[in-house]
Amino acid sequence: MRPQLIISAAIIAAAVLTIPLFATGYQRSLINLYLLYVILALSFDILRGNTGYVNLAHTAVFGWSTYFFAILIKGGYNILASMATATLLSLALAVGVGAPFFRTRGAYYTIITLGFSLLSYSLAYSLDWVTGGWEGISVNLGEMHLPAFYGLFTVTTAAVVTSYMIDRSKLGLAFRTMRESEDAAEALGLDTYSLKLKSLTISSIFPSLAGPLYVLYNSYVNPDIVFGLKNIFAPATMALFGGSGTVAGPIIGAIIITTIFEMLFTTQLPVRLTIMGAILVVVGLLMPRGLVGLTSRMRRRTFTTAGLGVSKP
Amino acid sequence: MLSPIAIVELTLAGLLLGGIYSLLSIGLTITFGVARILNLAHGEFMMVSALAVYLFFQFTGGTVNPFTSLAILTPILFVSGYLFERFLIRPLRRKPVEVLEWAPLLVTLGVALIIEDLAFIIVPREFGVPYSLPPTKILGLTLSTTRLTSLLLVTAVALGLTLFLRKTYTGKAIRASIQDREAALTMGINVNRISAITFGLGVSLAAAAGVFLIMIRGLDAYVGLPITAKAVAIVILGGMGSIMGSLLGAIILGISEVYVSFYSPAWSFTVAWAILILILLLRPQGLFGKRAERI
Repeated sequence: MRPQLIISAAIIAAAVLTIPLFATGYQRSLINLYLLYVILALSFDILRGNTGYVNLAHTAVFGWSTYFFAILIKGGYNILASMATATLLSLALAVGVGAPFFRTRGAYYTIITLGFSLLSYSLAYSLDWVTGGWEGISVNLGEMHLPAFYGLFTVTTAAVVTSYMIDRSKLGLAFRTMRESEDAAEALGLDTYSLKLKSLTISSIFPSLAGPLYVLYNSYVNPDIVFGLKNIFAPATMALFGGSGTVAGPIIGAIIITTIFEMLFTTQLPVRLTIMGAILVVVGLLMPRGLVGLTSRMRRRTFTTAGLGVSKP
Repeated sequence: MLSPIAIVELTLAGLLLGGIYSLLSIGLTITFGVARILNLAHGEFMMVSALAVYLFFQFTGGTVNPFTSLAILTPILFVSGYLFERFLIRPLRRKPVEVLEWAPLLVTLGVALIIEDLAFIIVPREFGVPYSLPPTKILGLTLSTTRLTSLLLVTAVALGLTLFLRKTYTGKAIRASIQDREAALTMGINVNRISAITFGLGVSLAAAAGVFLIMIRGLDAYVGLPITAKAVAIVILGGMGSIMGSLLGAIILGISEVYVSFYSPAWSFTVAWAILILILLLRPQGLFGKRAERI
């Protein structure tokens, strides 16, 4: 990295780190929400941007992590121990359940990961003796906005750095080779299954870490908050809106879409779902490369298959 | 333990629910099969149809048999489905492969949210159609005539659909396009036209499901996405694009839902999803699906 880049990153980091000290309660939780969605959007795109697999289960992984943590805290366990356990458990769940899904490709993979998210939602309702059903779980840990902020900021930084490093590494090159053609990648001697597992594991670490931190400041979870349909599609929408396959795209997308969501849901407009729906339609129909793609100079990875208008049946 | 009467009643209720789900999910599976695009707005058409039945029932003061609305609604929704394909799905089909994997999900989800929002503005509460015919007595059992009629009509629609898909040119062309879109094209089938017709058909099947569902339970404007989720589960379970698979999957889901919710309503959906994930771990291509391949 160039020294200017490191210095400016350090200045931004210092500024961001001191803001919450002066912010009010609502502003603090809003900043945390932004960080959370940046993490989820980046996680989604570490998988999708590199390997091409559209995975809609990252929110579910995050959701299970929040639930594991809340349940452990309710059980009277130590905060740090609960955090570590919840993170490891949800990571194991993500990889263990997610690995067989790689037996499918393309749209089938997307739909099966959507199925996993929907199952998670209904399980969180059904297992009411541990999850509290629709009432959810409240945990009282006192005012934890600041620790949660520093935690989320660290995870966000880690996600950005990881995304950047993968982009520059041999592993990233292997991922992108696989994205262009899985058969060709195998012919080149790449173990595509192990590559897929690697990308799934790396991208699932950050939602697993973010879960407990979310509970820390929100002190409440229920199925709708963490597993709701709006949330399942949020990371994908943000990453694709901002520009998939870049480091900046998911971050920009997460910030803009979160701002719009917050504005819509605090004003209580009667047509807020219509506006959200319209955004989704516009992104899907008109912005295949996202915002970052609109300015081609910023685009670093290009799709070699972009010119192919016909897909195989 | 369940009494024999309860078993008969629950099984009939399960068959009816399964039949309704099968109309819905066959509609979804044929549209997916032809276009290779999962329409997340599918359940919205069902909700719109149920809403129309409700409004029709209110408007006529509850005097007209709601089953008659089937005759008006299915053609109207056929046209909506046709236009939906023409102006939304077809432009999406032209996108490059890597966009085709996610853009249709976002676009159809967006359309679903818009339809739900507008429907909620029209009827911002739960709505139902309290219509029932005098009960029927068979072999000492007292059964709901409305439910029996629904069950008969659902079976008739399913049989009619099967005949249509097996015997007519259009039906055969639909099945050919599901099997292999490009091969169908080289055989001289106008795949674009067939695709639009399939969406019309799929959406009118959802509309029929809506007419039957509103007769047995109250719905609200936000029922579309959860019901689409169920249809997606059934479609994956049966094997994507497989009509037989959807039929079987829907019956399994309908009966298990009715029996499970007899004991604990909270578990009905979860059991269905758990069955789904288990089957998928054993057979990733679903019950009747072909080997999964890249779209």
